[in-house]
Amino acid sequence: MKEHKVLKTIWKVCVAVFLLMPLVVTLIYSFSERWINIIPEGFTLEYYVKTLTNTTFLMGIVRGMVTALIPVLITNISVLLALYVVIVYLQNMEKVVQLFCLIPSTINGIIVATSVLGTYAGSDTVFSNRIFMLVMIYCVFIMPVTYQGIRNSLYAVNTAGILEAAEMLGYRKFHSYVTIVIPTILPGLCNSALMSFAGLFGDFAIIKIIAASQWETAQAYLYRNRSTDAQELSAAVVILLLITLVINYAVHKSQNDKKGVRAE
Amino acid sequence: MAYIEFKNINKSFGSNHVLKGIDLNVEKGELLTLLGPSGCGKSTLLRCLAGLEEVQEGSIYLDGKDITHTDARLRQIGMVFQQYSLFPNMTVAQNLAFGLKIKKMAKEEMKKEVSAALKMVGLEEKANAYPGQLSGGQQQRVALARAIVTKPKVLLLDEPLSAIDAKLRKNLQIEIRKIQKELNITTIFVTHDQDEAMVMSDRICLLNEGRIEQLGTPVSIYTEPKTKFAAGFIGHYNVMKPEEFDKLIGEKCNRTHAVAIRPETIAISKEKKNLENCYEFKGKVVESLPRGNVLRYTIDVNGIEISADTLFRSFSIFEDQSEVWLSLEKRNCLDVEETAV
Repeated sequence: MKEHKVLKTIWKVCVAVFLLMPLVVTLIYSFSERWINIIPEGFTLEYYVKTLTNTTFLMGIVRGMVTALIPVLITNISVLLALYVVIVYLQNMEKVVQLFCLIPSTINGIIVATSVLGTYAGSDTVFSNRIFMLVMIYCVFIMPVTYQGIRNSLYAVNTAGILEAAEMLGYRKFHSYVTIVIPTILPGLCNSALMSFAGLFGDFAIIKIIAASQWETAQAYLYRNRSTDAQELSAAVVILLLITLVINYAVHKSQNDKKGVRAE
Repeated sequence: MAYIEFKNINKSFGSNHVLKGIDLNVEKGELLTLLGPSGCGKSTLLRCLAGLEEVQEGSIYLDGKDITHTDARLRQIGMVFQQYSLFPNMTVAQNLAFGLKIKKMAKEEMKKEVSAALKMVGLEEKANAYPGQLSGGQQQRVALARAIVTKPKVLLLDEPLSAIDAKLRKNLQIEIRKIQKELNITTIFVTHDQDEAMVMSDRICLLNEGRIEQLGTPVSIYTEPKTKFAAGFIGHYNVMKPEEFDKLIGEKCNRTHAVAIRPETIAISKEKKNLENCYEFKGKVVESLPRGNVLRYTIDVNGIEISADTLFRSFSIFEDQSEVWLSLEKRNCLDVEETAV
C-alpha cells in the first residue's frame, strides 16, 4: 500500500516536472545575463525593462485583450439569449441549436480564417473590415465551448422550473432569467468565458492570417520577432503568462468570495 | 357558482389528447386532490389553471371571472412544484420576499409577512440560509411558504412530496393540511399516491386517460367505486367479471356488471362458519405478503386468484399452500361499470 503511494507520488512529480520544465527554463532564461553553458550566468532585469517599455508590445497586449474580450462577450450574450428562447418557447429546437453551435468544433480555425478571408476580403461591405472579420471568426471559434458550458449550467439549475416559479409570483420570465438564473450560473459562465478568453488571447495563427499587419496583438508580436533577441522574447512570454495567471486568479477569487458569502 | 370552474377543458400535445372535456367545480376553502396514474392529465389540468399551459378548448373561471386566457402572472395563484424550484442565489427570506416585492409592499410590512410565513412552516431560524443548505423537507416547506406569503386566491401543489422520504412525507402531509385549514385557502393537490389523497383531501377527483373517472369524498370513493379503474386504483379491490364471480362463489348470480371486492372485507378462517348473508367458499393460500400492519394473502379459489387482508398477528398466520375458508358479506360485493359514463 505504502509502495503504491510512493509510486503515485513519483508519477505525479514526473508529470509536474515535464509540464513545468519549459516554463521554468523560460523564466530562468529571461532573468539570466547569458546562457551559453549548462548553467545560466548572471542575473538581470534588463530584458523585462526593455519589454515593459516597448510600446508595440504593450499595445499588443491591450489589442490582444480587446480582441479576446469582445468575442467572448458577444458569444456569451448570444448563447444566453438563444438558450433562453429554446428553454422557454422552443424546446424542440434544442437539437438544432446544439448542432449549429457545435459545428465550428469540427472545422480547423486556420481553414475558417482562410475561407472567410477568401470570401469577404474583396467585398465592399463591413465584412471586409479585417478587425470585424477577426472578431466574428473568434465568435464562431469559441461557440462550442461557450454553448456547452452555458447549456450544462442552465439545465443543472432547473431553469424552466425557476422561471415558472417566478412567473407564478408575478414576474416576467426574461426578468427572472436575468435576475435569478444568470447570477446562479455565473461561476460556470465565468469558467467557460475564461477558457475562451485564454484561448483567444493566446492565438497567433488566425490573427496572422486575418489582420496581423493592421492589428498586431502580443502573440502576433512574439511570432513576428521570433528570430530576434530570444531573452527579450522569454521575458515577454513570462509577462503574458503572468497576465493570464492574474486574470485566472481574479475570476476564481471573485467566484470563491461569492460562494463564501453564500455559505455564511 | 363554484369558486373554480373548469368547463369542457380540452388539451392536446401534438396527437396526444391529454385532457378530454374536463368539467370540474372546486368550492372555496376546499382541498381537492387530482389523483391518477402517470400520464392521466392531472398535472396538465393543474398547469392549465396556473396559466402555464394554454387551454385549447373550454374555459376556466376563478371567483366568477373567466381566466382562461389571463397571463399566469396576473391570476393570483400560488404554486408549489415537485422540484421545489427555489431561487438558489437568494436566501430563504429573499425567496419569500421575492413575490412581495412586485406588490410594492413597504419593507417593514414585507419583513413581518416573511416572518409570519416562516413561523407557519417552522423555519424561522433558517431565514438567512440558502436553499442549497437545506434538506429536501425544509426546501419544500420554504416553497410552500413562498407560495402562501403572497396570499393567493388558490394554492396549487404539484406532487410536492414525491421527492421526500416516507416518514417526513407523512409529517408534511399533516402539516400542509393544517396550514390549508388555518388559512382556509382553496387548494388543488396533485398526486398519484392514493394514501396521500385519502389523508389530505376534502374531495378526490380521480382521473384516467384525460377523463374524470370519479369525483367524491375519500370515503365515498373508497367504499363505493363506480368503475373498474376506480376500484383497482383505490383500495386494491379484487375486480372480476360476472362469470368469474360466479366461479368464485360457486353459484350463479346473474350479475350484469363487473364485481369489486375490497381485500379487507374477506374473512379467512380454518373452518367454515355458516354465516348469514355471506358467501362462503374454500381456497388455497398461494402466498402472503406483509404490508405494514396488514398481511395480504393471495388465495386461489377455483382457479381465480383473489387478495384478502388480515391484521398482521403472529397467531393467525396461514401457511402457503394451506386450505382456508373465506367468507364474504353479500353487501360488500359491489357492482362497477367498465368505464366512466
